[in-house]
Parts: sequence; C-alpha cells; structure tokens
Amino acid sequence: MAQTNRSLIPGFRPALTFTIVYLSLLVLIPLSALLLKSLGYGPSQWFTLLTSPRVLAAFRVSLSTSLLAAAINVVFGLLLAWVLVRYPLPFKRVFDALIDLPFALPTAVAGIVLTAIYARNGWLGQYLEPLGFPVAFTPTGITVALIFIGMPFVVRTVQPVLQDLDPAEEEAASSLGASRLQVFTKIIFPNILPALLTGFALAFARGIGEYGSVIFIAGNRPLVSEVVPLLIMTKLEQYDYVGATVIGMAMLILSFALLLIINVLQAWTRRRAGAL
Amino acid sequence: MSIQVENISKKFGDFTALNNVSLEIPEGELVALLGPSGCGKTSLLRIIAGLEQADAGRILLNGEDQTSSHVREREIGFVFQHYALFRHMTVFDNVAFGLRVKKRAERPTEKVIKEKVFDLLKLVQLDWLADRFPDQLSGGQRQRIALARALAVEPKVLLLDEPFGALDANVRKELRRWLRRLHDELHITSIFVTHDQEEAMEVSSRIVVMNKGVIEQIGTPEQVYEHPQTPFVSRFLGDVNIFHGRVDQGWLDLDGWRVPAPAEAGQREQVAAYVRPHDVELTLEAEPHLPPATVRHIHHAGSVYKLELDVPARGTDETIEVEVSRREFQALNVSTGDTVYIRLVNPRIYPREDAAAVTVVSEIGTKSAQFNPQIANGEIHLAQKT
Repeated sequence: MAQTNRSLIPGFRPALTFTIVYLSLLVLIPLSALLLKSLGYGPSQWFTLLTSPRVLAAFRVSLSTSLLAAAINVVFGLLLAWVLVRYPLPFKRVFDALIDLPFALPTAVAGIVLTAIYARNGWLGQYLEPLGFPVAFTPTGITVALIFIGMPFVVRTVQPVLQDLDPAEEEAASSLGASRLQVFTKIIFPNILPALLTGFALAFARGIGEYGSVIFIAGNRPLVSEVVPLLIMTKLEQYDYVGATVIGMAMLILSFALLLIINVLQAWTRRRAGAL
Repeated sequence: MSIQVENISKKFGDFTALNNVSLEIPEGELVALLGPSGCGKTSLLRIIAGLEQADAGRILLNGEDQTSSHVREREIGFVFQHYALFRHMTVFDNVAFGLRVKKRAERPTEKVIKEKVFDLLKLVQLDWLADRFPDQLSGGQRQRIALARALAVEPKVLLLDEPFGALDANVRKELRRWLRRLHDELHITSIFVTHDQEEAMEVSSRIVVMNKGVIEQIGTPEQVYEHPQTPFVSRFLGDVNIFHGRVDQGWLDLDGWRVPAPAEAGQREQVAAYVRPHDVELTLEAEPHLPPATVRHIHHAGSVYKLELDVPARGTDETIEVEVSRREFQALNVSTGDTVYIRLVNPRIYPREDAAAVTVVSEIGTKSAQFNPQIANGEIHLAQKT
C-alpha cells in the first residue's frame, strides 16, 4: 500500500529536489569550492597564517565591532520600533520608510557620508576629536558604520511582534496590580525576546561581512582598524588566493558557530515563551 | 464593595458610546449589563475598571471617588472576552502573577503563593493543568484560568467582559451555571457584560438593559422580562409579535380585530401591542372576539412547539409566532392547514411612535433572534416536503 505513506501535502519530491539543486548552486557548491581552495595550505600553514598578529587583530576588530554594533542596535532598534508602534507620530509613514534606507543605500555611499561627517574636519568630527574622542579611522568609526547598516534588521523583526501583542494582556497585568515597569519586563519583554535575538543575529551577521561602508570610515590601519573582509581583499590584490580563502574559511566557521549559538538561544527562549 | 456610576458620558469621535449614564450596584450583587453590540455596555465596564477614561461623570467604589485613579489601584478583577492569559507563562505562573508583582513588603512567600494558587486552581477545578501553557488549553479552561487569575488578588469587584462570548454553546451553558454558583459562594460584587439575554436572565440577580448609550431599564430578570418598560426591552428580551392599532373603551382594536385590553391601557390612538409567543393561547372552538387563524408551519423546537399562524383578520401577510408546550400541543392535535382561534394574553401596549423608533434599532441588534428562526423553519419545512 504505497498510498498510505503519502504526505497530505502533495509535491514533496519535486520540492525537495528543487531545494537541493537551488541550495547547491547558490550555497553549497561555492562554499565547497572555497573549502577545496583553502586546502591548498597544509595545517601548519593554516595555523601560521591565522595566528599572525595582523590576522588575529583583524578578527578581533571585526568580531568586537559587529557584536557591539548589534548589541547597540538591539537597544535602540527596540526603542525605535516601540515609538513607531505605540505612539501617534506626525509623519509616521515617513519615519517608517526612513528605517529601510540603510537597506537600499549603496553601502559605499553610507561609508563616505559617515566618514565625511566624523572625519577631523567633518560636521561632528570637528567637535569630537578635540574632546579626545576620534571616530573616523578607529574601531569606533567601524562600529558607527555597522550600527547604521544593522539598525533596520532589529526594527523590522521587532516591529511586527510588538504590533501583534494583545493589548488586553497588558491591561490584564495592570488590573492585577503590575506597575508599568513590571508590565514591560514581565509581559512585553518575554514576548519580544525571540524577535530581538533574531534581530541581533541578523545585524551581527550583516556586520561581520560588511565591507563597503566600513573601508571608508575604518582608515584600515593594520592591527588597529583593519577588518577581516578588507584583509581578504588585500590578500587577493597580492594574488595570494589560497591565503584569502583560508581567512574566508576561518571567518565562515566562526560566524556559523556564533549564529548557531544565537539560534539555539532563540529556540530556548521561544520554548520558554510557550509558543512551541 | 458597592459601585456607583454617576452621570458618565463617553464619546469616541462623533459616536456617543455613553450618554449621561447613572447606575448604583449594591455590595454582593451579580449584575448583567445587557444590550446589542455598540450599546455602550463594554465601554461602561471598562470605565468602571479604569481601563478607559470617561469624558464626564464620576465612578465611586465603596463610596470613594475613583474616577481618576489607575486600574491597578482600584482593586478590581477584570476578565476579558478573549481571556488575555499571558501566553509565555504556565497556568500556575498566570494565576500567581498578581501575587508576585506585589510590593516586597506585601508580597507573600513563594510557599504561600503556591498554596493560594493551588486553592484557586481547585476552585476552578483545573489544578491538574498547572504546568500547561495557555495555548494547550481549551477555551472554557482558559476562561476559568482567567477567572482564577483575577480572583488571586482578592479583588473587591469582579468585572467580566462577555466572558463566555467566545465559547461554544454547551461550554457556555456549563460555565454560566458555574459562575452563578461561584458567586453564591464568594459573594463578590460582580458585573458582567453580555449581549445574550438568556445568559443575563440565567446568571444575574439584576439586569441593566442598555441601548444606544443609555440605560433602558434596571430590574430583576423577572421584572425586565414580565414588565418591560420600553418597546426596546420588550423586543430585546425574547421574541415578540407586534400588532398595530388603538385602545378604545377597554378594547384593543387591531384593524377591525378586537381584543380585550388591559385595564391600565386607558384610551389611546396609535398604539403598538407586543405579545410574546407563549402569551398567545390557541383553542379549537370558536368564541366571540377570537379571530380564526390558519396553521402555516409547525416547528418542533425540543421542549416546545413553535407554530406560525396566518391571521386573515389582520389584513397583512405577516405571520404570528406562537409557542405551546408539548402537552398543550398534543391536546390541540393540529396539523398544517388547520384552523385555530387565538387569544392574546398579557399584551404590552406602547405608543406607536416609540415602537416605530425602536424597530430600526432592534433590527440591527437582535436580527438573529427575530428573523433567523423563521427562515430556518421555512427551510426545514421545504426540506420535509420534497
């Protein structure tokens, strides 16, 4: 009885075939090529390259700025989403559209604009630098660029969840004697935490691979403000293809591991939230 | 805790939800706010709770003016139509919520909270569900948990907004009996909002009938059903047959068809007489002043039989709805097409313009009660014929 094994949803086989072919063409084959190419170095060469001070510094800069930017985005992205959902604002639609701008703007443009503003002679830079707080050409500048790039990810993941929250749940909490702060920490926050984590993961992933906007504001000083994607570009320009792929591979493994951790964390909060 | 509502008005834009409403509810009563959708009953409940602010008027709880105090200071328990359980918390944590958010000085220990929560869960007969999440419960279970959660903080007043509105008929019936019993045990002043007259009659000790932002009548279920003060109340609480005519020397003259009028009816032109389906008596023998009628449909509605009659003396095509008990029906032993004679008992007489004004409203408000059964009857009848 072959019939009994049939799934209720038809087209399982074509759907699976399509998924595998599509993923292979776009993700698996390119990544396998990367892996193969990187195997042109033996283990000792891998180790020497990846532990060289310049590479280590680049990883440190990339990871720390991406994590910091994503964390800042979680806080202020939530605030933005909150304001957009909860308060009647004049020109709300305009603000709402502005959120998506970092998605659409060519990243190089963003980088140039930010550099122009935060450079020593820029609008803000001319006040910040005398205060001993240089932004352009430092890791701070990279963080600023990554905040700009990653902000819409947090807003756009949290916003719909905030919108769907049942106001009656908050009213119920108030009627049971909860203060405003308690309503937020005990009712609203647990409900939006999974979305916040998703936003964090997306902003972080975007930040760690960001190239266009960062290279202008970073100043790209080796050991100080050089990010991993730039290091890969440098290797390529020196015709060191294997070296470039090794760094790329290390970067891939590292970000994959981090995203996996965030996903597990997210699944855990979701289970705790009762939405199985 | 007693509740006083003084001259409350509330507008939403151009729409007047409440127009100068005053109401007094003594301690320990279980009161129903009854009315069609949009009559302002939910707004009134939310204003009493403090979830909504009135444009004008005062709310006094236990004699104290609480008009501007926040909902968390009013010591009320509120039960929402769609339960509003905290989805991310277990049943236990939901019920414990009100105790856990208390200020440290007033907060009971976890041990006391645990005992109290289980007592409440036993009260609503759901202690075996303590570890579940709301998504894993049925609607009736959720509403009982919502009630347990509201009772946990020992509110002085319990406010229920269409508490059984989202449940199916059987569960609804069971839960409203249960609510009645619970109230008899706890004696907590309670108001519940409903658009279901049967529910209001069965559960409450007093009914407040509302329409278009004003109170039409306040009274016990018996008072509002047997002695409706306005045409609206007549129509909203149960089905009625409406006759037009005039009152003349002790007779109700309905377009040439004369019926003895109640003594207090006096002498009036242009009246509308409202007669409930069970207040139409049928007999097989011709008597003076009893018009003949033809049985058009017979519908077996469980405990009663519902008959639709054509009355040629009325001069219109409209049928009269009659309800007779099984025993009466068996004694009559009529079938479709037979002739019977009808006597109107206990007609309520209103000036015609009042009645005309209310018709429009009640057509919106009580459409299902007024029209659906007839349509359903017609379909059943046709189905049997073919």
